[in-house]
Amino acid sequence: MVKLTIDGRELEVPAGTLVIRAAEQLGIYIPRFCDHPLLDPLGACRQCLVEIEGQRKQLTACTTTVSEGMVVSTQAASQAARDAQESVLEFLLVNHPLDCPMCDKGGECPLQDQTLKYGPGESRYVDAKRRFTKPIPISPLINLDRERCVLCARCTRFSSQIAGDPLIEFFERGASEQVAVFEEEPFSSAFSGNVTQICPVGALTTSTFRFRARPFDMTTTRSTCTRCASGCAIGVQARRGELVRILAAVDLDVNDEWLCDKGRFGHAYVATPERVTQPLVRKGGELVETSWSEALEVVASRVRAAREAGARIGVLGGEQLLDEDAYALSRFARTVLGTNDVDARVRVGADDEEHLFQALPKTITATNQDIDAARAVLVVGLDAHEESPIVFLRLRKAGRRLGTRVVEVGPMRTALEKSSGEWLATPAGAESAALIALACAIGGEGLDAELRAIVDDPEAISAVERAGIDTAEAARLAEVLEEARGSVVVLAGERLAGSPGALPLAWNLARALGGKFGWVPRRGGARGAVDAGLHPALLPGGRSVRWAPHREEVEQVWGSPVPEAVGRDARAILENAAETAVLFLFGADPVRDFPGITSTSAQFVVACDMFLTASVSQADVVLPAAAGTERAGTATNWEGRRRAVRAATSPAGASQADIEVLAALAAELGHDFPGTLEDLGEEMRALAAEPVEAKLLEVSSVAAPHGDAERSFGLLSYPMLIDSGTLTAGADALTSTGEAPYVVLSYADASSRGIADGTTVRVASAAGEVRAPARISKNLAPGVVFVPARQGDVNAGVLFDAGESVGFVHVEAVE
Amino acid sequence: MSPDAPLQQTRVLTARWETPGADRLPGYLATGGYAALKKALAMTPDDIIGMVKEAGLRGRGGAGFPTGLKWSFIPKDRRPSYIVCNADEGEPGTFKDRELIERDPHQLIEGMAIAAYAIGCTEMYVFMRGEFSYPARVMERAIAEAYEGGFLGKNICGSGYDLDFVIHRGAGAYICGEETALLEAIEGRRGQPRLRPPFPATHGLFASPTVVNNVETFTCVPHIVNNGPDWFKTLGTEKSAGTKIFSISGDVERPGNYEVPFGTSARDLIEGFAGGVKGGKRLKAFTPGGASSTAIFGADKLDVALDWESVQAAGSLLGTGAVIVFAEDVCMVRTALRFTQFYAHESCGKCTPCREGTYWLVNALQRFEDGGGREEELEILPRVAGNILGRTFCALGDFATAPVASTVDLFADEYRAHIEKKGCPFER
Repeated sequence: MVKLTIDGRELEVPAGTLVIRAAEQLGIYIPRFCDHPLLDPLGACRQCLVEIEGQRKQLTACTTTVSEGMVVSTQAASQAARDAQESVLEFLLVNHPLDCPMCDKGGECPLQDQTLKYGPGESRYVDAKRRFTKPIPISPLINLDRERCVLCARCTRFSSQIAGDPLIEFFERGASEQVAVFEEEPFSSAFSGNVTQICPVGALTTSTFRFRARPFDMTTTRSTCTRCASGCAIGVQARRGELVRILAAVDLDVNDEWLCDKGRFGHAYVATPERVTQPLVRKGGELVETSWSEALEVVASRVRAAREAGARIGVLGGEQLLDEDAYALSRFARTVLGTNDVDARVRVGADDEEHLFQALPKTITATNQDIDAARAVLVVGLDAHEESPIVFLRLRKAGRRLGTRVVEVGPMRTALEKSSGEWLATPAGAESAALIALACAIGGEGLDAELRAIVDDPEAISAVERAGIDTAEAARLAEVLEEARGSVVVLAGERLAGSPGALPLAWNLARALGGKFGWVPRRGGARGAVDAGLHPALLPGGRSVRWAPHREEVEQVWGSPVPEAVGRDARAILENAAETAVLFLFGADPVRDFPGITSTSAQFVVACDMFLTASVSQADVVLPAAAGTERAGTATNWEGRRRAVRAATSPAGASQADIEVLAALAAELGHDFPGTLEDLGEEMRALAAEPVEAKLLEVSSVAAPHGDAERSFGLLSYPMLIDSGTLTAGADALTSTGEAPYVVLSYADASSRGIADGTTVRVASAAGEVRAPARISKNLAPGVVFVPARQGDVNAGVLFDAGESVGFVHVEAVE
Repeated sequence: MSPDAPLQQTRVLTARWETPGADRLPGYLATGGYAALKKALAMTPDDIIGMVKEAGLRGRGGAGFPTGLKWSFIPKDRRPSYIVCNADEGEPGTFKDRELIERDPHQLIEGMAIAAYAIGCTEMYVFMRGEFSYPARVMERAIAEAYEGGFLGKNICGSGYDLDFVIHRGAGAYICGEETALLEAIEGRRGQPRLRPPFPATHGLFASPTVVNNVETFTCVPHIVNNGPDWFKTLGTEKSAGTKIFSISGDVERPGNYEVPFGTSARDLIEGFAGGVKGGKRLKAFTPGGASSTAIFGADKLDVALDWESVQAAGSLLGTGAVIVFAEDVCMVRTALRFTQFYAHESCGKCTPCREGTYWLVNALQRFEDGGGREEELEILPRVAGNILGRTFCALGDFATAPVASTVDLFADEYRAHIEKKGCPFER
């Protein structure tokens, strides 16, 4: 620790602390533009000049580290510091247009605020200011006004240091220096919006907020983004009850102060005309508006009839519900509907997941802080950049700060490549074989007896051979992991379930390396659904339907019996939908999302949703759901961290929160059901499990799927961050940054088939086909074709047979 | 120097300039070239550093930092390390490095090679000013000859020591003469100065320990090794040892480079070596050390001895030793404008006071020339300069203030004449 004095007050801070940060600890604010605590120090704007005893000139507080006995005087105590700061502001305004009345930053502008507080009242500069054309759109989302720019380099440093997309740079020099993008390279970054939030002037503003509101006309509600499992802190801003803007909020444990563009710019859906805001019932084949009481009555009578007839009732949640919704739905299914036919996964589930989901709520798993401190991170079945962008930033941060090695395992190398990433290539669905290869290479001493037994199995070894895993490369990467023993994080995406055995292997490998495992699902409600037991074999808190004592614990809290038989999962429900008397869809769109399902052919379908999606438009009753920004609750992110969601605006029209819908339905059916967040929260706490150290997970099978001569290409497909998803409806500027349809092939396959970059290729399975231009990549394993799930009018879902999670396809050039 | 003594340069660094063919390897070898390198390779690195320290060699790039001390900062346990020669000679009025390279390139290679051996580096860089196309060709030829002759490459002079040499051509930015901006540029980035600390001695080129020295500094080294530190100290003054090449330009009869011992007076240089003010006019002002002297001197400072201490005591800096002479009919407002335009053009843009301050000063000075000057600006302009001075990221901003501050100080009446005459009263 180092002792120093600032403005006459003593304090102790760790060696290496910058003076500007030390002053903040005393509540002393030193004005600044280029300084930003999450960016590398620069010292360019010179606004934070302070007087330091023994120095013949003023020094910048943002680049000067503390030293023992240092005596600092800021503008509060030193005329020299005041003069210096005033002169810098006078200089900054020499070329600033002072067009505050028409600038979107007005009212929240550090230049405006700091000039008022620390600047001269008038400028002595009388000559012409430099002029630039303005504003220039540097992407559909971001406008650049170079006249307002103070050249603080926050945007350029964010883009190169934090996001790893160095697409915005300084051009020219002297007073002509300006921020610019490269010719024919738009500022396309999944994190582009952050530069507008950290810009200390109105140089970078968003096209979506242009001329919309002044900050003092808006209310800001601190909430949580639920679009993916990162769980970023956000500020939701509304003006006269209308959602206007979403900003990143500061939470150093989760998102620092960053947000991806989808979270920031994707909110237009809440106010689109397509939104369902009244209950609808099907009459004469048409969905017509009705009252809540009629809608609930219709649903209740069908449920009553089904229950009396002993017919099946199924419940699907779409992994997008808040924790309380998921919990209430799980409880509603068991106690009101009397069924375990409940699932949150509108995707192909796997047996492995039952073990994992049972363990997750009860186990200490990886957190962002574990990533920060990790020396190595194994990433498998996860495209962090597209599926959980803030996890991607966290991995980059670890790489920049500690040199953390990132090892990716899978058929495709992702944007993590930019973070000195390593890659162990596998065929599609053969991640389990690669994990075995890694475990084998770590070898006997490094593994516990159970894991050794698993990987010593001759069948496991032959799986590695059949998959053609590069065992030399696996050995090299195993060494990387071994060297980081005790400081390893294993991050597994939900897609890993498509490779039998891979999920538990990844879990066990983390354990064997003295590290931690993290399950990073794609959707914001997935982890909450796991904790709620929105699964045919599971109950809240990772309890098993299969085990009577677990059922009894839950029955005690619910005061109601829990069905004993394990229910049907989403696949079984959907493939035998005709047997289902009533199917409930809560934010689930199986027609779009579930392989091979083209209609919800249950006898009666009740959908609680915001939009008439492909599935909802086939429903018999549609109950309008409130949006995530219109109601309160909690959301559990991938770490298992529960985060508050708060209502920023009122629910649109007659829409209601899912928990209210469920309570009303239960009441209609004569059940006593908790309907408030408080009541639900109390039950959830009673059923929560205290997490303990990870135990070994059972590995049942390690089979790797494979194709045949006709369909030899393994199909890899998942949605990109910006795609044609429902919840980006109306966010046209955002969706226009999404990419047109494409498919990716490896160099080896492209050259052997005479396919060049841009050649239109046909990807075909027995179920359907997709045509799109090819991209040739060094980052794809041979024998694999990557088709983004939903770009433009291409839906890769048509390629899958019903219930298939790894498909095999035929690929050819079309002329 | 007595008034009657013949004008005689003290040719050490420029000794071969008069010898035809000395710019090629055979000519260089015939005039004792590479003897110092061979001698140095038989010494210990520490002994070489000690010798350079003992000689009192100071950097000729402008700051006068003790060279041996700089070399001794290089950590012994971190490799690789680099020797970088700053040949981005962009200082207005300075043209000595160019001639040193053109006329005696092997002397530079030899000096750098000795430095490389002294700090244990195996790869040297020269950052050559972008406009130096002929010097670059000469240098390339010399490097090829040195490789051929075994003075560069594997096992130089049979010593078992390997040494490679890379030329990096600049792209026309004065700021790249600032050593950290120069390193950024070699690494392929925008030439802007880096934050210090860490200093180049520990985190220089490619984040490795690095010595950056000026061309003239390196060329002193073979002579120190050959003749010993005591000999070197007999030249110059106590604290400014050795000779200095002064570039004299402007209104003189014989502009050019003159090598003389430190401490030679400005009068001897201007009136003696350079033949006095052109056309017999009177001298109005001169820079003791190029545009980046912190003050322009008036005629009353002609007898200042040109060494680091004396010039500083007289209120300016010796800088690169570029003496620019202004005759009595030169407009000092226009002079200030031209200098300030240079700095405004060359300001890298990184920090506010330099970027905006030079822009401000240029506009104001131009307005004086155009007839729009205002009396109150005789107060304001020095204050604006004062707000730049000491508050910029690197020294470029400091240098940029001198022309305005000095000319308002010394020639306020010329500014007033501009106001009264509503424009420039000078014909030239």
